Amino acid sequence: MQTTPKCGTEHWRGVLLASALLLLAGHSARAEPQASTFKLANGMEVVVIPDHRVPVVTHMVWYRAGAADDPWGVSGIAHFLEHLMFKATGKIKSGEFTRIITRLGGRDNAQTTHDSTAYFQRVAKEQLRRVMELEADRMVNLKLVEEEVRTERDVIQEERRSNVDANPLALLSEQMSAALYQNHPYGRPALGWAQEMAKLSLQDAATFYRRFYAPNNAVLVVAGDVTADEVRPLAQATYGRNKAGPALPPRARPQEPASLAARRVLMEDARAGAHVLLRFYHVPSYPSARPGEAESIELLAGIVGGDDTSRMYQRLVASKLASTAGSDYVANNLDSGRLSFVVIPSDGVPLEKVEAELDAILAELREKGVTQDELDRAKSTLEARRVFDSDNQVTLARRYGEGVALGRSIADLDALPGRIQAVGLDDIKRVAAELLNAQRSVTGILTPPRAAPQASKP
Amino acid sequence: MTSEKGPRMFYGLRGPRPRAAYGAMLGLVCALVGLLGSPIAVRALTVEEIVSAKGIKAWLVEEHAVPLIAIRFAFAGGATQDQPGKEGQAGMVADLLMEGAGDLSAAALKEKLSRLGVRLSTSSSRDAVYGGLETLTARFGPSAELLRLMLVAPRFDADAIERVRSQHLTDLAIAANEPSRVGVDRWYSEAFKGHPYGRPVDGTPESIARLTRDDLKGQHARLLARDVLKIVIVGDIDKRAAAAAIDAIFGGLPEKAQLDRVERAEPRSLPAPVIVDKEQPLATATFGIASLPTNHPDFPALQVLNHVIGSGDFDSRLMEEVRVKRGLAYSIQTGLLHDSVASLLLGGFATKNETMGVALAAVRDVLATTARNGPTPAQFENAKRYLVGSLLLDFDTNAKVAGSLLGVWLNGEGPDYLLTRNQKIGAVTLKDVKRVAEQVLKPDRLTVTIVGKPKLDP
Repeated sequence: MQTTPKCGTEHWRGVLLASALLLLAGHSARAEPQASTFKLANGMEVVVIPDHRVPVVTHMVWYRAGAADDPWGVSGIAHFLEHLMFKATGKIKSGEFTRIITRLGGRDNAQTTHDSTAYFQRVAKEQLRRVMELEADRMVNLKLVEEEVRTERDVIQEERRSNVDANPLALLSEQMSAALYQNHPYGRPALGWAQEMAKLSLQDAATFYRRFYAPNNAVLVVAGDVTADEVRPLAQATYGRNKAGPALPPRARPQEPASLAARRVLMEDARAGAHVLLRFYHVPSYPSARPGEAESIELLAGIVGGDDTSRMYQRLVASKLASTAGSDYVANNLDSGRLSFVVIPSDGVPLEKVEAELDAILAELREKGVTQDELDRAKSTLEARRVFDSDNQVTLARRYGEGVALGRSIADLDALPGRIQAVGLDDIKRVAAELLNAQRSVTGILTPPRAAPQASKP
Repeated sequence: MTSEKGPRMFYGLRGPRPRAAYGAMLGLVCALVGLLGSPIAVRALTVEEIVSAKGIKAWLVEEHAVPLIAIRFAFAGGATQDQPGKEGQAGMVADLLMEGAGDLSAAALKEKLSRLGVRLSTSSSRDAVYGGLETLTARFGPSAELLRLMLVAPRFDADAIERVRSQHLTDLAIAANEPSRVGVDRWYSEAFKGHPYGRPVDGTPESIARLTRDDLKGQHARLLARDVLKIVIVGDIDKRAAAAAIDAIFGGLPEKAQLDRVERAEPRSLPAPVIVDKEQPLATATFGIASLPTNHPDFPALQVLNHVIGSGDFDSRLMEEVRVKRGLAYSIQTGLLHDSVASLLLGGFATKNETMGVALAAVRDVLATTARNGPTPAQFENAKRYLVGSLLLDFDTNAKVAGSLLGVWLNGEGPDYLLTRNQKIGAVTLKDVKRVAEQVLKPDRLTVTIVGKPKLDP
């Protein structure tokens, strides 16, 4: 099933790399998966990624609706609905969905991000049809009951308490996001704010469901021991029977104003075991960036804090100023991305000192960029990661599912290695100079309360 | 159990469903996943036992679909071998393997690894020092050579020791504020008082501060030897090349480790929960009880039983009673742990301080009821069906296959595990499960630790 169009000069180097690996490996190993795509009559997009090593399939449905689509004042509703999707439909009882998957020897899960909501199952290939029937059923037939909505609302509040409220770093990160985004709904937590979660109603969930859950707003991904020819009739017989909903308007969320001021968020928490410095920069993402820009940011993030050869490691950890230092790039959100840096100073080293060092590292990047050697190494790391990813069915299914749900084409996703190769020293210097700018940043500081003694002994 | 240095920092983007959530929280439950499943037709996975020219044994799975090779290995011993007062020795040794070897300083070694894009990691537990290598086939030779050097000739440079020491001290300070880690550590120290298992596996600030270069070098020489080594190789490599690689990498290690004998241990049972008083929005409970070793004829029945009560699925008995019916916890799960000298059924959950008493009573009641009546025929059938159907879900990437098989081997199973597992589970009868339930599930034998300020009267 190699229907993916491949063209353009950028891809050429990726192909060359793949062939070189094939030659060296000395047999018919393949480096890249071959995803293909088609559309059902009701508008549902389908992606198939064959992987015939074990008789297992990964099945996912991605909806183009996430927490950034929560109405104002109703934060958390996308995620709450994700939970409620495991309740009754016209055909199955509440909780039955997971019960059936488990009985089939499968596993299921779901996730809500700001831009999408996705439902996953992994089963033996013989069970694929049954899974598709079930998922197609709950896409349109969910029956919510007041009593169950109430119990499940307790559960999501419990989830917030254990995953966020219990963790000071998670709380700080949430506060910083709220400061980073001054107008865009990315500033609200995907789980929701506690006081709004407490009021989420059946009506809120039903409205969100009716608005967004329809085949023309969803992407089906099947990865594993199947071909597109096998998936097509199954998809038609299951999802194909669901009626298309009204066409949805383009996903235009309120956009950010120009960033004019550096922001600082200071948090004291008795549970902070160590001091932590966190820094966020508002930057473009793959879906929102100019061509080549996100690729440059990704390479830059690796060079600054990606591994134990990075600049942050050398100057903060190897020099014993810090016990941990690293970077992270949230690269795949629809409207914008986030480049972040974290430093945990060594015991006794003041936060001011590690912050000054981090600022010095970033200032140097803005002025001088990076070296050719650093850039080559960062590219080689990403190339290797791409091959590691091709070993993992779930990772691949996520790549294409999330990508297509956010409006990207398979050709675009497949051309990434070529675009990474094409990034030059000037590109890196340009994004560093433009984006590593204090006005675009939020700095977060976590410390134990000043008055109280520091971390207790274990 | 891998030594992740980066903190878990970016929360709130995802709301994973419970299976993922609590597994990650306990840390230990994840390690079990490989054990809980059983194979369907094991078409593509053939496990071969190979012996190198130097007599080193390994398990090999040839898989040429992706140009990658993964190796996982373990030296039995681990933290149980830490000398008294020097707790944390094995963990420091494992980390220092990555910090310079032969002629290569830490920085030079890491630069070589980064250039190769190889994934190399080391870690430790109570029972073993572990390592893993994942590389593109084309870069296997130089990657393997670096691994050899790290194992045979680590440098233990003063500078690296101080850096790793400072990281371990920071980790301990952070861990002291993570309720799940505090709870599990306390559980072990209470249940195995006076036994090497009861000692702090990561050491204490005092013991870490005390470790000298000789302590670490000496421990490396005692622990890393061929007679306690288990190796699994998976991927794009044939038998001859694999055997040669084993000798090249591990052949230079001493023949015999110098381990102290560790006696088999039964966990103590304490009449009342042990409270670790901490201000937290939720109280976190860890509960455990003695179970059966993997070579016990009733072990497959115990696996079925564990699935029925604590799989973490919505219809597992604990989830049903604690989350679905009462909304008390986001997730509750149990796992079977088979360390080299103890067999446990261990579980955990978090709930509000004021509902801890009710939740704990529900847990005891589930255990008591199941001990009395066993599972229902439907629960029994469903659990078997899941265990039989799900095994291959853990055997779908080279790295996961290698890790899962190493776990199988460490648990005392043979290379034919994938072929025999389903038959064993298939042969389990409801009567077997009832017998095991009665034998193992003794609520009054439960040892419980709670981190928080719980209200215990239901």
